[in-house]
Amino acid sequence: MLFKVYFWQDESVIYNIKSGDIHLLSSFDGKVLDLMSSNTKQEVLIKKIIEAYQIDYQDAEDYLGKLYDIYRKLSLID
Amino acid sequence: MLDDQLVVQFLRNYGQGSLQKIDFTGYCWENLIRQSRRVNLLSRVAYFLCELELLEKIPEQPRQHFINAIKLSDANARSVYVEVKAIHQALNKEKVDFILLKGAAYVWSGVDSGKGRLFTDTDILVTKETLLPAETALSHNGWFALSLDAYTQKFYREWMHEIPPMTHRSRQTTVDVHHTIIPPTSRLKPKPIKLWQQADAMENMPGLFVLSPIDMIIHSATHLFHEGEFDQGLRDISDLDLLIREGVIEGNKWEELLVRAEELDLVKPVYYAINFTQKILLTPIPDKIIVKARSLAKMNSFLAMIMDVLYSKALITEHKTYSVNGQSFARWLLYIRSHWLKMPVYLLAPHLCRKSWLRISGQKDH
Amino acid sequence: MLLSQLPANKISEYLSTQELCFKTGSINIAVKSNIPAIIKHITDFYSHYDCLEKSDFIDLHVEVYSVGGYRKFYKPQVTFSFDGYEPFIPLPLKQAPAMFEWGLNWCIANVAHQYLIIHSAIIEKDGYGLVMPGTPGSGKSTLCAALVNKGWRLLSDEMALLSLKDGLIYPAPRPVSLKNKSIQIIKEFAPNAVFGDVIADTLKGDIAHMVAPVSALKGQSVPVKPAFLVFPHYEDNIEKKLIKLSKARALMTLAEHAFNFNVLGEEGFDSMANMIEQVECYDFSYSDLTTALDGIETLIQ
Repeated sequence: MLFKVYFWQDESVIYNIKSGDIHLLSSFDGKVLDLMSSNTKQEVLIKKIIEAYQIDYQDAEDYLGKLYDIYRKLSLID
Repeated sequence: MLDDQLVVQFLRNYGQGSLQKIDFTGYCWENLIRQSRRVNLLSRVAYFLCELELLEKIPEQPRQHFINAIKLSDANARSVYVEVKAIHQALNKEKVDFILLKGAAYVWSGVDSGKGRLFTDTDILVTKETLLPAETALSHNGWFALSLDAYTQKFYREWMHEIPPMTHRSRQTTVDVHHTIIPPTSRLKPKPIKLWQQADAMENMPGLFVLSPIDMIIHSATHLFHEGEFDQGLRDISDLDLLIREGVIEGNKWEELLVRAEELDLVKPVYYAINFTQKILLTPIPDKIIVKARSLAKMNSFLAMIMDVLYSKALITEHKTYSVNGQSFARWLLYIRSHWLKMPVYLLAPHLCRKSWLRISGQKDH
Repeated sequence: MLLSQLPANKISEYLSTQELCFKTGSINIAVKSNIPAIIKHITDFYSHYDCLEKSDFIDLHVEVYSVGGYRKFYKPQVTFSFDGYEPFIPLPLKQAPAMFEWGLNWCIANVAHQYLIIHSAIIEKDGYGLVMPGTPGSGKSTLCAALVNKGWRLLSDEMALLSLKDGLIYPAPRPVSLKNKSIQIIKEFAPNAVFGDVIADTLKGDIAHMVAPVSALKGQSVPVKPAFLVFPHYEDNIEKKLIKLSKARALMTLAEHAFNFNVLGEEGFDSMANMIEQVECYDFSYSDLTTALDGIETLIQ
């Protein structure tokens, strides 16, 4: 595992084990990160984003793409 | 006198040096902790005790100090990851290759001398041609050179082998960028290109290198015996002991070491290195190799004897728990010598006077 | 045996010729100094501390001494050393007691990594631990000094030592350090409190130390379970407000106040997260001491 996450109500705090950095994310984004790191399929993640934000497929896919970029940049996922 | 120092005993033979004779409850752990901490080796001693699974036998209060020292070096290793990645990101964009040096290199490459190793700055080597592009790339990525007066800037750029150290704006960590391992004004002239030719490329990080195991030894020897900084003397001797055991003794590569030292015009510091690691830490170096190195370095036996005495005193840092007669005089002589090695005489005197003025007036030494 | 129970002149004799050894909480300290101001400081502020035996293990060997050379005569200076290492640049001699206290803080923060060390006051009442992290201008020291004169037990005014093993905060009580206006405020608030001389013009302004109450020393082996995390903010003429904070944000802010967060890595993060889990987190704004104290007391009712 590259990180540790603690959830409280609608926020989460992520600890990057390699770098020691900590990040504040929404609870939902924290859960997506958790799922990403356990290799959950993209389709499943997109579905969850659609359910949570009530947006269409394209927007959800874009949002997921943004999250992948951010998490890779922060070295939270490979 | 050397055997009085508990820390010296503990560093011999990966920490096993004196362990057979120890009564774990009655032993003076406090003195060992104090001595080790003073010479920046507490983490290494703690690491050995941990590897030998002996921490549990130590009484609780001293044990906690060893455990905490291991946490420090683990944290240092984590920071190497962050720093080297950031430096690589900045330099790789501008296609500047770099060789990681000293502590950062030991930790990154996983050699034994990275164990329990603490350091503050990251030292890197670039080519002379890429020195300014490297400085530019770093300054575009959050590093800046501390504002130094014009004299000090000139000292760094023209007389020494570095641009001034650069500090990262938010992380407050420092990178020292070198293009040679000895100042260009020195009498010894190792060619940096030869180091590049033997450097090991690091996996998944194009443009990032470390020195070959033999070159790591030679560089460490040069840094200690040419540069004149003795406060970390025992730490550097311990690094050399581990580097020599892993890089030369294991594969019986004595010929390689001496040939390479000659090739780089650095036999003298290598002679001192093997002489003193054997003397102080009992590194199993064959006497005939030391004799051969001394003759290759063209040292007559009288001079060798004097340097023996001076260095033996200089390499041991004073501490309340033991005394070293004549240490400050020995260090002063060797300090002058190292400047003599680095600079022509006409540059030497004004520089030394300015340095003492800074010290007397209470300003920080660099 | 307490330091005050040593035969007359032994405090100054041990300090100047060998070492004077005492403990605070779980930390054993040995001090050497021949500076009269330090001898007086130790006598005035540490006489109720437990003396240690020669055979006791010492965690910190420190020394406070005058700088040599021409400095002995011209603008004399003092320096602090931790076993031969000097972490600070020298200061004017009259700031010696302040340097001693800062020096000890530095040593603990750099050595005691069996704890997550939070830059905060930590006090206790009725078994509840109150942690007040200190940003500049927060007034945490003033609040702390006032509360320990109103029945709260002082564990520390500078550093909360959160044990990585059991999640409790361990005491290491020392003189309470007050700055500038706070000095007079607390002197008026607690007329029975004992103060040292004001040390003027330090980097932090005027400083004075208040002797740690006896209850602090009596309870120095008793850790406390953290119950409240309160970030105080002093501001002129604002309404007193105690606002509950989200735990996630409190954790992010608390990390900035942890001296050795980077040293402890994952272990430190877990300890901090577990502490946040069990405490109530607040932001506390106030503009005068009396109503501030009432606000704090409501927490434990």
